[in-house]
Amino acid sequence: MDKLILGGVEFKSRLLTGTGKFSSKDEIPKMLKASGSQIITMALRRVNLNNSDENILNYIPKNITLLPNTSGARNAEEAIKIARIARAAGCGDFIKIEVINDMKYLMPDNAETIKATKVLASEGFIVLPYMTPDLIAGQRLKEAGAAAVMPLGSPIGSNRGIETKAMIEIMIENIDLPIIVDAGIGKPSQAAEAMEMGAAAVLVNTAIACSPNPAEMGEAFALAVKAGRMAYKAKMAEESRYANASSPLTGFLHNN
Amino acid sequence: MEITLNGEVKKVESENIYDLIKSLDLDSDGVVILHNDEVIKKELWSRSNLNLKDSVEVLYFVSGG
Repeated sequence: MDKLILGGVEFKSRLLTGTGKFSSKDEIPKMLKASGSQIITMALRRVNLNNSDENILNYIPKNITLLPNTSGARNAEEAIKIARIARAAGCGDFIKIEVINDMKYLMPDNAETIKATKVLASEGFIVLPYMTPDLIAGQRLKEAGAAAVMPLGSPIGSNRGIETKAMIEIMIENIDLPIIVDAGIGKPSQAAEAMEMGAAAVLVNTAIACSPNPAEMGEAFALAVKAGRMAYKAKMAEESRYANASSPLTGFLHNN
Repeated sequence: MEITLNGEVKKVESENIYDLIKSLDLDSDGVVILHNDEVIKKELWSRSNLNLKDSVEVLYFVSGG
């Protein structure tokens, strides 16, 4: 079986999802069922003491792996603190590191992300760092003990697709860790594209959550991920500049 | 007694974390308590006594990508 392995844990699905932006949280379990996604992200926040909201964990079935993120962290120390709290609260060992200072494009800070990865991996976390695509930063993350590297396709929530394609391809070719394309994937065809490139998985939130029918969109993404993965494994035919006839050029009508 | 609760200085009557959470009128299922920067498990809330100027953070998991 072609499984995704993260920190020694096996997953059948190569589609990671997120809990953000759903118009109704009731859509989350339906989406998980339809898409077969086995890993889902969530965030940690202060309770609003004047207006108590519902705990997101109530909407996530027990067989799903929780991937708390460190959103809100602006440096390594804050990301480490959030990760430790999430684990102490019973969320398991998985953590998505997200260290962001740039509020316009929400670009992750690779240097701080590497620092946080090193500390958390040494504490036994299964670290999935969200990062700006860069080969050297990816290699540093591997050395720091990351379980996978998650380069962005385009800015979070932008649905612009894989604008960083060339950089991600270099990472896939040269980093011996699962590369998971996170952020910016806006439609199933772009998820298939990431998988055809050789990405180990994709993380999709906005494109599914903001569809009027998240369950159906989740399934569409799952199919695209599967198709892309299958194509990658079967190996794509070469591209060429000129035509290369697929049918015999009928010889009996013309002499040349 | 004054403590810092979710970043704001507040006067509270509660003697321990358990009483404090009860007094807040919120769904305590799934909340995560940081008492002076340390996570306190639910079963230990009633044994976590509050002192003047303590800091308490009431956190929970929310939607996020």
